[in-house]
Amino acid sequence: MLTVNNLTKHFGVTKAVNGVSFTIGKGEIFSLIGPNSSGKTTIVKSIVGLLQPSSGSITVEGIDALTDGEKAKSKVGYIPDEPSIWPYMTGEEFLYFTQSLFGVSEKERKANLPHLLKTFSLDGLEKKYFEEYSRGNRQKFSIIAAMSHKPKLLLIDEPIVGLDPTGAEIAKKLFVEYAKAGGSVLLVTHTLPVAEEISDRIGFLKNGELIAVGTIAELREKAGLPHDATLEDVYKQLA
Amino acid sequence: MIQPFLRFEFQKILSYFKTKTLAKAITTTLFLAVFVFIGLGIYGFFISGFRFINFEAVEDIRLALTLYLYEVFLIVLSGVIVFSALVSGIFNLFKSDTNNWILSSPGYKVFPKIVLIKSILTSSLPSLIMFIPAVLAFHRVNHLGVTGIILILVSVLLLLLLLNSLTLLFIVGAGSVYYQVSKKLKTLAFTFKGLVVFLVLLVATVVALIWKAMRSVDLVRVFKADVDTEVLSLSNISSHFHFLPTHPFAMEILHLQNNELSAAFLNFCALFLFASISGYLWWRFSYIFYPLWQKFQEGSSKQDRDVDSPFGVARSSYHFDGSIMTVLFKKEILVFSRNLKGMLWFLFLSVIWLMQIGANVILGHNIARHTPDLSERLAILQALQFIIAIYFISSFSLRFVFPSFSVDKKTSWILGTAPLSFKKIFFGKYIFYTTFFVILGVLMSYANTLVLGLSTAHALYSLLLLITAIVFIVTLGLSLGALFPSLDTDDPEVISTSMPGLFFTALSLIYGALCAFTLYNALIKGNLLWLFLLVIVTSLVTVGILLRTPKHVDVRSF
Repeated sequence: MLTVNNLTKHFGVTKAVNGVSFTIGKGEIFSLIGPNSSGKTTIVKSIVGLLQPSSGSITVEGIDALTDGEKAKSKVGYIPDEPSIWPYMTGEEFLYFTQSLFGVSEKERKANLPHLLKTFSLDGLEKKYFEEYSRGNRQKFSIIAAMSHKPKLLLIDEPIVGLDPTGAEIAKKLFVEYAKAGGSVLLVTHTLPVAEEISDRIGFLKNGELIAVGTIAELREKAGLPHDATLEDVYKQLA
Repeated sequence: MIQPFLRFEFQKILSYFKTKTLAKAITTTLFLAVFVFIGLGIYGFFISGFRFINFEAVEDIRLALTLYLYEVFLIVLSGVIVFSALVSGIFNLFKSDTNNWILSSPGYKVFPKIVLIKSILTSSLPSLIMFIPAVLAFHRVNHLGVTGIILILVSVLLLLLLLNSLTLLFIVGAGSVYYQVSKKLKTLAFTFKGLVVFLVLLVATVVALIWKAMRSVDLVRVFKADVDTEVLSLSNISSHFHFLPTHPFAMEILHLQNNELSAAFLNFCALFLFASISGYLWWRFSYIFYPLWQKFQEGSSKQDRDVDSPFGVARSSYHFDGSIMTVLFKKEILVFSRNLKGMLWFLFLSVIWLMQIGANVILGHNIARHTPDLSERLAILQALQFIIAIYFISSFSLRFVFPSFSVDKKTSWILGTAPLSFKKIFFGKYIFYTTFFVILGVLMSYANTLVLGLSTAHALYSLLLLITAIVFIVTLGLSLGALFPSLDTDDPEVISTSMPGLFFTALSLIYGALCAFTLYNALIKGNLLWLFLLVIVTSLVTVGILLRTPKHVDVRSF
């Protein structure tokens, strides 16, 4: 579904991402974890077309994301780490707007919206302006917006920051169900228990380089740790 | 608390120059050069005005005419100060999230005082730019002396204190009344938007009352010097303005001009007294803003979650149906129309433009009554009107069109991750702003045509050139804003003072002058060739810019 090959990104003289390569298969949840400034968000933004890579290639379902960005973006849903949205737009308007951009018909929008709002306990709040929402509710709206056009690939940057425990549980469940239905997920996070709980494979990033990739079992083995070692232990050992 | 705040503001200015120092130094120099240029224009205008009054005007009306000039000048200046204080005051008091650290500290009571200082500092620059050249011109013609200059400059500061304090008191006073009424009337929600609407209505009422008092002055008789001691007496002119807080200042300048130092000092003392009282009142009672601020922090309560208007009307939703271009167009309407601060500035500029049309009403009426050769005067007025229209369209474009990509920086991920080309995003904004400003320009132009009584042919030439010019200016502003987005800030007021912003202003005003000159020639000499040539060349350049800009910009630039 997603192939990232030898991706490199420079910001002036700083090399934020250095020759990163990985693939994500259909129905797979792949997590990228690493310390601050390790290049996680830069990779996600390069895939979704918010940043221009310095070199390398990215394909989404066989479509070159760098030369045919519009087509590739139609397959992708993106949940940012900081959901900044026009303050005087209501939640409902934001969802209508983003779904229109992705070609979701008015009939579909009106049919799906109540269910999605109810899932995140946002029903009854959809007519408020974004400036009135808590950070968690803004995040919930951005999750719904990213998923409601039924993308093939979901890019999630820090998925549960700002969400209450119930909201976080719902979000995790939604991502897992989405993957079970055949969707692919790239998850970027600092929250190691979340990555450990829902990921099929995990990649460790350090200083812009992918230093280890594998299932949790493979990573434990690589770190020389027992089978009950947590992801945090593995991370400390390898990173 | 005030000292650390002032240090913080000073550090902010210093830190501005720490990155891209050369570029920012050039920008600042150009910015100052523009101010000096404006200052020189004001200086020249006042020199000729004072000389006319002193050496050419009829002796009997000299003082009355002088006082009228001072009163009007101070009213215009005060209008700018009050509106600036009103907009910055409302948002600094109630909507500035960056100041929450002050309000959550033990020194929170100092916050409204800081807002007053900020407000004075913000309004001091444009006031001094208008005032210093006027004082220098006044000194050159009337030889003021050191005492006179010092008195006038201190009076400017007192006027700033007086007007800013009064405006802030007006905001919290009106806010408190609105809050109390909303507590009693369940149908009236207490919202920030409601407060803004309430204040705008109050200001409109005050402006209407001032206009009513001012328009009763018989300008025609004053300027035509039909000697009528009743109409032209100093006391008669004075009686039209005596209720305004600027009146003592106007009288002070008049007395200084006549070397009546003690009378001038008496008026200075009156101004000092008013400024001190208003400053003290704000210092003493400004704490009443705090419960209002706290109330606004609550957001909408459960009861009013489905209403957004202060009058309890259900909040409407945009459904964003239609083609992608329609969806983007609707998004621009929504973002533009719901930005309260932007709308207030828009309202302010529109009111000034309407005032200018109001002035045309008087001038048009007088020309018809007193001028035998109408055609030349009408052509001059129409050309002047044209350049004023271009000035306003440039101001609107500088404030709204030019920064429109940079202000969307934080939300750029929404459009940036959608399957859209930059071309569609660009034209979504372009179609919105072009349509909006063309409609605005045509309406204002139509109003002027009616006022001046232009012939149909002349009105059509003017309209053709105006529409061409508006489309060109919007194209230029949007393209420059897209090609040179601000990466430092998303504040439109800061973005518009960047080097590309200044370049845009200079270019659009020069172009406006060229258009006005061409229009004048067309109306006077019937020389239509140059007018049509200008329309064709402008259209070709506009199409060229439109074809090239989207190719040179990528959504990833933001």
